[in-house]
Amino acid sequence: MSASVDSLSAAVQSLQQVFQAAQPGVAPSAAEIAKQAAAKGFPDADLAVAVWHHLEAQATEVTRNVLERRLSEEKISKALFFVLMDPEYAKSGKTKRAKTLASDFRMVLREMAARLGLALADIADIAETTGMGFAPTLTDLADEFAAWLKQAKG
Amino acid sequence: MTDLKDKVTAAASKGELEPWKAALLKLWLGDHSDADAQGPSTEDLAKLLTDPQRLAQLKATVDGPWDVLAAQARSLVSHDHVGDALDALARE
Repeated sequence: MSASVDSLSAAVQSLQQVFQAAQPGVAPSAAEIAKQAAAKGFPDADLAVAVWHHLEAQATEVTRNVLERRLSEEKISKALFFVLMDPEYAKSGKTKRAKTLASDFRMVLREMAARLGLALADIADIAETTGMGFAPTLTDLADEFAAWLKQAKG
Repeated sequence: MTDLKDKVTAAASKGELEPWKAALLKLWLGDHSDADAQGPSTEDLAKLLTDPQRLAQLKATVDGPWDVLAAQARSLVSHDHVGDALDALARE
């Protein structure tokens, strides 16, 4: 599993390099995207093209001042994230490699969600055992403060 | 604003408001005017509790469940980034 995660991390970095080097306003063909991504070590051409198209759709909404350019770069990892999150992509990925990446990625997320649930249960146990408990949720605390302030100001 | 802070202090001394809650509320009041002092939002509290200096200030002021609250705050910030994705997974 960790090898897949490492591969995914490397894939994101390699595609970032390709995207950042691209000429604004020039739309490369799928073959050109695949060629550039492969040259940078991106592990799957089909996935690279799907992510690139996602980025292009986002980029049309962005005015390219410095701040928004930085935001568009931030969207690169989000674009890959949402492509891999898409169950339709996981089913329809054209290559075995792409399907494996998407499947592994989703498995990692599921494991994270499961571990998060266990961790929260542990935290609750520890809080109760040590007496750190009785800490309200932040939402309950905010509501309590609002009610108190309303009364104090009234 | 001073008036509200004084009321918070008085409430804590009379046992109407737990000391750690009073400390947290006074810290938040220090950043807000009377006009917008409807109370802190959950995000306001998370912002205070994920600020290392503010958290250290609270811990130095009074005993409280700071670590539990700070963990909640960090979790809330993380959830902002992945919450939608996890919801999508749960719906599959």
